[in-house]
Amino acid sequence: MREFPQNGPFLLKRLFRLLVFGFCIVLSGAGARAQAVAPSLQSTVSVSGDNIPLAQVFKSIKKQTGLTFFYSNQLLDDKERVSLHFQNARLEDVLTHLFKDRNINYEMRGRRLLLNERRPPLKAAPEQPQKVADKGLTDSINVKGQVMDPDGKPLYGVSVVINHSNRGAVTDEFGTFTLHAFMGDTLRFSMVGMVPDMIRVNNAKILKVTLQASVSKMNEAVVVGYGRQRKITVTGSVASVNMADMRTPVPSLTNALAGKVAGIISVQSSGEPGYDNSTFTIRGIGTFTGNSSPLIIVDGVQREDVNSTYGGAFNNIDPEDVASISLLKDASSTAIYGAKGANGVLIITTKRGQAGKAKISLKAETGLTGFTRTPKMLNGVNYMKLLNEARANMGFAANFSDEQIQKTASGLDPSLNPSVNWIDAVYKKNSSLTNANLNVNGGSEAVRYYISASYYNQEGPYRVSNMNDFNPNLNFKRYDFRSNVDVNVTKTTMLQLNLGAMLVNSRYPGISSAKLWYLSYATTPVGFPIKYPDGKWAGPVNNGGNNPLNEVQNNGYSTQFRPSVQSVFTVTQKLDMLIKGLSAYGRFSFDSYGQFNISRTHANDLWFATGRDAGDGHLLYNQTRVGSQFLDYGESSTGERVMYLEGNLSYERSLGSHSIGAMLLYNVRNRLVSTSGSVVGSIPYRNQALAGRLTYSFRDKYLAEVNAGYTGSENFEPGKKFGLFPSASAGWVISREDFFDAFSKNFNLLKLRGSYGVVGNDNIGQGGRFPYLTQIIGGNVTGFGLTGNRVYGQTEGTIGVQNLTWEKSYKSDIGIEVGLYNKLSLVVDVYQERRKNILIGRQSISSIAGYTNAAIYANLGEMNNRGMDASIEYNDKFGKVGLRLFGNVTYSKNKIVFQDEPSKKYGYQRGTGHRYGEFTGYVDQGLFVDRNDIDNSPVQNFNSVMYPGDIKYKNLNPKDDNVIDAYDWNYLGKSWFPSWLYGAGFTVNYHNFDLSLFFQGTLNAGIMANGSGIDGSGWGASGVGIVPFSGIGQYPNNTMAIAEDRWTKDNPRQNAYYPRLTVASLSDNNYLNSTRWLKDGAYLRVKQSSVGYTLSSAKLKKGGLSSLYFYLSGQNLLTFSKFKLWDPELGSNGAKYPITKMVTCGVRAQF
Amino acid sequence: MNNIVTKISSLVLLAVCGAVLLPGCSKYLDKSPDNLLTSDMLWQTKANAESYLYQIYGYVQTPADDYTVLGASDETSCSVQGVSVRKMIEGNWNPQSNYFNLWPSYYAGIRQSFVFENNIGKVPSSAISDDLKKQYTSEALFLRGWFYWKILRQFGPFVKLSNTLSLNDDYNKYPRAPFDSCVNTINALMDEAAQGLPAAWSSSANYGRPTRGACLAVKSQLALLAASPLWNGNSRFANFKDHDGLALAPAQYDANKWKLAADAAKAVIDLNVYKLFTNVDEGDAQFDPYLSCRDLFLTNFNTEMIFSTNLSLDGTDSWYWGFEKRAAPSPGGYNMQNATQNVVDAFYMRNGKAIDDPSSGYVETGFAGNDDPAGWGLSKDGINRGYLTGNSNMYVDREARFYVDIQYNGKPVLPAPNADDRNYFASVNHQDGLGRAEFYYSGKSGIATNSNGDITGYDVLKNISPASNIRYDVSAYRPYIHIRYAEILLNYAEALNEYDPGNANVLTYLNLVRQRAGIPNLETVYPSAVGNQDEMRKWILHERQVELCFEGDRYFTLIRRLMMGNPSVLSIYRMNTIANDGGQGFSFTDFNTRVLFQTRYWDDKMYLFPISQDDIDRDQALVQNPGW
Repeated sequence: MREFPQNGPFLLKRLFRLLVFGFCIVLSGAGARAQAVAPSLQSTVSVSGDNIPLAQVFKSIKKQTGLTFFYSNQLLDDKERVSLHFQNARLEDVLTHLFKDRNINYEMRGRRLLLNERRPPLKAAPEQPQKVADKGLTDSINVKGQVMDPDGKPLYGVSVVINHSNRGAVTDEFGTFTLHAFMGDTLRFSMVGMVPDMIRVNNAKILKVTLQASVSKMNEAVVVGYGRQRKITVTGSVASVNMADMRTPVPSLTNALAGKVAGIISVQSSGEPGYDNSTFTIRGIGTFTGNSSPLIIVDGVQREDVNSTYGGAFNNIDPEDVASISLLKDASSTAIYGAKGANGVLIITTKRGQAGKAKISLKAETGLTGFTRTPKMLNGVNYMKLLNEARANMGFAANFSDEQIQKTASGLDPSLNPSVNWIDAVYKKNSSLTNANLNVNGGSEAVRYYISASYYNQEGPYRVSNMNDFNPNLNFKRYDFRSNVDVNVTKTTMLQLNLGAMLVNSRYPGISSAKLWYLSYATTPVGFPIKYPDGKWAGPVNNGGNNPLNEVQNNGYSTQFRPSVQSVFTVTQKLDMLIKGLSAYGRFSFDSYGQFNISRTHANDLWFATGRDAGDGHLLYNQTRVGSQFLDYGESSTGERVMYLEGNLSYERSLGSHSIGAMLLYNVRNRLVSTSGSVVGSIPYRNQALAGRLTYSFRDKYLAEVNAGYTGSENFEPGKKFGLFPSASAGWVISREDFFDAFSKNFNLLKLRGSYGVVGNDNIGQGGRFPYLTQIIGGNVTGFGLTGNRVYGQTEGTIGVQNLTWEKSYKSDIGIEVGLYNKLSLVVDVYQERRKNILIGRQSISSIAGYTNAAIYANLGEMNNRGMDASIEYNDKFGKVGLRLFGNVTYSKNKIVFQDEPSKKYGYQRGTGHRYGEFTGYVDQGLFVDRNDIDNSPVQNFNSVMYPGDIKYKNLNPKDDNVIDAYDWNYLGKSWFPSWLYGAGFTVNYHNFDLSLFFQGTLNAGIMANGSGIDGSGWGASGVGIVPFSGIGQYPNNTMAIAEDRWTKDNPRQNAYYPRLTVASLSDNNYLNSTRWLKDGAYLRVKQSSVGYTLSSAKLKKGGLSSLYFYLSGQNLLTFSKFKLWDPELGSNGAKYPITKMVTCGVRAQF
Repeated sequence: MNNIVTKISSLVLLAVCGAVLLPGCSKYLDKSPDNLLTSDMLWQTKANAESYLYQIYGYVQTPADDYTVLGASDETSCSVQGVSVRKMIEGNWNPQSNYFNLWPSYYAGIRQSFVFENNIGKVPSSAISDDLKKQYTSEALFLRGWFYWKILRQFGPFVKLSNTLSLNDDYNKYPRAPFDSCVNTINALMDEAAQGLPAAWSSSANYGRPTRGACLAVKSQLALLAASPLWNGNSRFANFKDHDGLALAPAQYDANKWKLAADAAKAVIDLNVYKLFTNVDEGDAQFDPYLSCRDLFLTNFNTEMIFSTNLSLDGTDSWYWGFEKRAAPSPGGYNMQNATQNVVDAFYMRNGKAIDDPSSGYVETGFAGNDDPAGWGLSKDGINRGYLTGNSNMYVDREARFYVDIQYNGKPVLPAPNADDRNYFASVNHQDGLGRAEFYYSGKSGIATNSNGDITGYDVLKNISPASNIRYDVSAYRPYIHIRYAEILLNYAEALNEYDPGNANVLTYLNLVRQRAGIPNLETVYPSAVGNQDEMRKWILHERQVELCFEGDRYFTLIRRLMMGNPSVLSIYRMNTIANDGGQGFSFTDFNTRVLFQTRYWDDKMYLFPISQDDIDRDQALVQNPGW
């Protein structure tokens, strides 16, 4: 029955916003036969039978009275059998009989009978408010009130009891209640799944009560692989994201996820809209080749294109449309995905409609974005002085005379003595952002819908204007449309159709953002101005670099649209008529992704002023570039489609204290890339899988589960395509044991669970496929004939290897879940993973065999990854102040156990035994003090001559030589990828105000800040900005302002940031990878912060507006780190689009 | 009604499940790339089989910017810091550096030559005739021999293979073969290849493929190396043995190897296919030594070329684009490939005398008062390519090859077709349409203006075309010449002088090269050299240094002659580029002062490149080269 997860009656729908409760409608036939007479508890009914299921009793009553029963199947198992014999009895008597021993009370609302858990204080039958109105209590007052959830939605069915009495009331569908109480009485508000609350009656005012979702979530359902389970019965390591935390204006889902849930380690290394998705992992990196990204499932369908093309399409799903996000972390939860699950699984489920009056939600926000940190470069004067100093250190004469420096400092003639801060010239401090979502859900019990539309618009940061009849500024627009429709065709058949379109329409300047950053960062401040006073754009002569602002302003633009359409059609059929508890569904999905680019670029005229006319002083120009008048045209496009078909059979049954479940599914997936560029790539990517699950639980106390995937991969030769990936897990809910009763008052949950299993990874990396086949690709080129006709070689791109198989990941996980005082919950998992058979390119084949240029794969890698993740949450209320505190942490440490590595001469240069991605380099011994120091140290000939102030390195093989050379680097311990990622935050609300702050950070990540991460990419020198005055063009490149903190002859400080300045390159002694430049990349940032105010009044309600919420929120407003030069999350390359921060204000309305 | 729908949908669902389950499992994933070219299919069509051969050709390097031309010998220095070749000459070099580690790529070519040889027979005769198969096989054999030869020259003895190796072979059982055995292997391959190749291609479409002459020319180069002191009884290699104690280098000097070398060169000469190129071959009425020496590289084909790679420009992807860009002065080029004073001094005067000869007429100070009266290049370019008024006297009355090969301070930039293009290279007050390169301190290529200013006062000008326009990165096509006839003549003269110094052919063939350069015969200039083996050797090597400059030969001549450690080779001189000219420009006399630029590092182990540590680690039978 869980296949109808949100098929609840309209009155209860609001519950689902907070609790994905396993409610279901029982016997809610499509055509409700209207009864002429309104039913009441006094209606007469006849029901009799021996050992008949409750459901049949309810059905019979419905037939006679038209009353529909509503209940949670957590509350009541309607398959339970009863015996009863009533002829023309009052309905009330029948119900009393039925629920006498079941701790259930009932209540009639219109044509519905609502069943609820009976509260211990309410030993007697539930009292209606009017019954409470005891005439004898003359000084009692009539207390009215309304109970709502944190979203401002009324809560139905909350029991309101006067403490230490048996009097109380239950809220109606508007969340309101009335009861008589004395001044000073304390009212206790409680409801399943919510944190109880106590409020003192002080006056006769209307009480406003907000109940928070209970932390214990005993009955919360979580989405697991190919289904959902009650959280209490889950034995694998599964975490769900609190969607309230995902309310952020950040356009990318993965970027918003970091720190929100235990188990994620991610790094966002760019902030450029449309290209800013994170490197995203579940529990870190477990393999050293192929792909370490998790499998992405959206609405039950594999959509694994995280971080890949089309902007990682799933990232473009508006968080407003997402109902839940689950993380499957261990073998138990992922084995069912077989050879796709080794890197963990992320499941995103979108919202569905709930029967009832149309409910409209509107969100609109607008704000500003800027950069978290921009690098600070030398200003013109300091650039000139330091360049002179660097040249002097090399024995060269000064580049700039004192007079030139004086002129530049004076700023009197910026045309001839410019000093330009190119970063400020190109980038604005702020640019705008707008974002809106409108969604409606509702429907009848037969047809339910959720439809939504979103708009996202972000302006680019470039300081440009529409001056050439085109606007070159970046603009990122996204339109999301979604329609999720559920139709109950019959009582047992349901059709579901999800249509989602994520349409990105963006514009970029005629220069790539990466190149523009590079130029803004690298261009000399003193070479040329931006523009001359008469409007001519300035530009250097050939090889002299570029004028960055000119490149973005005048070189055209490109437009891009990326339509992603995802569709899922599902037919679910209950098959109780064949076997009780059996159901099946079939699912078909067709996704289409595309990207279409049009570029309109050209080059414009550029001028360079060489001096002033001796007479009238006008500028004398050289034209340095002859531009073209019109924009050129270019286009490119790519696209792909993915088809997916799944058949799923599941069985679920409770027999007394035993619950068993079974599931078997089969799926095929077919992905075709339209512009693959190669024969191999043009063949559809195919996958096929058979998977199953068995679950057993005894009184929700002892739990066991077996999962297995039998998945096939095209990457392996026939006969070796299929592999079985089994896992087993067990759980023990100690808090349900009788012996635990003594503690259960404080300890509401204590659960232990463990799992072990094997999961696979068939991704061979580098886009490789069919490694068992020798594949011929284009190779060398040569030429013949009088004019050198080019002829093209073909070669073995891949040498086929027999008997290849998938990577296998042996995962174990032990977890403990604790709930205290119904306020605090804690989940801790420790895990260990051992990857074996890692598919790698061979490294140990001698080059005399001649296979150097071919890819040859082998299962020759082994890696360990171990760590822990934990989350904690605390909810409480102090008077009118509600508080939620939460935090989580993920730790992962990997180690390469074995790789196909040639035996190195020196063991310390072997990668085996080290972390994946660990930096290598020399060991810094400080700066040379004097000539004597150099002479008495090992010979260090990275430069021809060493000088005091150069970096001294450690000799790692002193027994063999007294020379620092390529045998003296070793592994430095840190990797660019952090070992720890944590997040923590709180939400406080008081009256209608709320305030929340969310921090996120990483630990143990490294930044190799010697410039080695900065790739010139053909634009200029690598290492620019860090390596002082690098580049071979006419103007040495600019350098970061931190270069002022340097070793000099006059002030030979060991603690200077920079060694002796020289005009250098990355291979210069002082800029080699070394411990000196390996900086701590850990950071902590205030990732989200918001203040909000809820406006709610009777007037608004009458106007149809159930709640109105105003807020001001900020993203990435503060970042703390030891590393100050650029945003540490960017890693070793600071010369690129930084991480952005945002400030937005917005409004949310519910109608 | 509901029941019917229920039943139908149940059935449909089951049917769907069944449909995909039953037949699908076994075959769905067997969709291997059916129309994918696999190794077997290569040998079914002409185009595919040929493409495999082209692949092997692709491993023939066009070493336009490798160590041999970019600064490992005394003729050049690279102005860009941090390039591998600069680390080499600074001694920052070990088996992990992997500088110019061409060993793996040549072995890739060797493997593929075996694959080609093993499989070409499978191609149907209807697609490729048996004759053509024989030709292609011969080409593959030549290429294999070529790769072995290149390995031998750079790394010394190699691992001889008789066929392809499998992925799971025990590589530890493949040791290096002794030097003489390596020589025999290459000679055998060249002999076998020569049998299937013509003396000259009848169709110009085949230019770029080896001929019989190419095979013999490789044998000549090889024999000269084998006869030279490096491998002929070199005591430094006395302990160069493999793990079993087998000597890898010949211990005893064998004078007969010089005879073999002379004979090998003579065999090429005796083919009577080749002659030295002159501009008269192009239809010019007057012999012009400048045009002869320059255009021999710039013509699409001539009879001096013995083996070449004929690769046209595609975008920026061809050697000559990068070569011209690299060699050209700023701001159009990178002035990166700087000729040294050492090579500049080697060029003769027009009277055929060396500049250190007091009677040569060479003047080191002052400036030319007139333009070059020779009028070289005028007939073709309309521009006098000799010296100009105002050039340093150092550059006056030098031989034609000097003006062909050296871009000196004040010499107009060549790859700049019109006055505007030339002005681009000139400072404001020098924009007279001449486009004189400015290597002085504050000049356009000077150290004051550039972070990689010219460091010697010269750039390389050989193999640079006046039809190219480096300001706009436009380059004109030409083949890359691996071996040309002038080298064979010099090989012959050198070897003959070693074993039969009195042989008149020594002078005859040496003089052919001098005559084409427009300078008098050696015996008329230095009669004392005739019959004096040592003096003759000096002049032959001197001729090699000049004639074959910037072609990679200098590096290997210094290596095989064990001359690389000579102080005169390691002391690199330049013009005084770092002296501030104070705005004097071309008339700054201090610029034309010879200054010591660098004293390069040398260790005798550097006579051979180290074998990459990775390869030593992967094949335990390999012994590292001596000293590494």
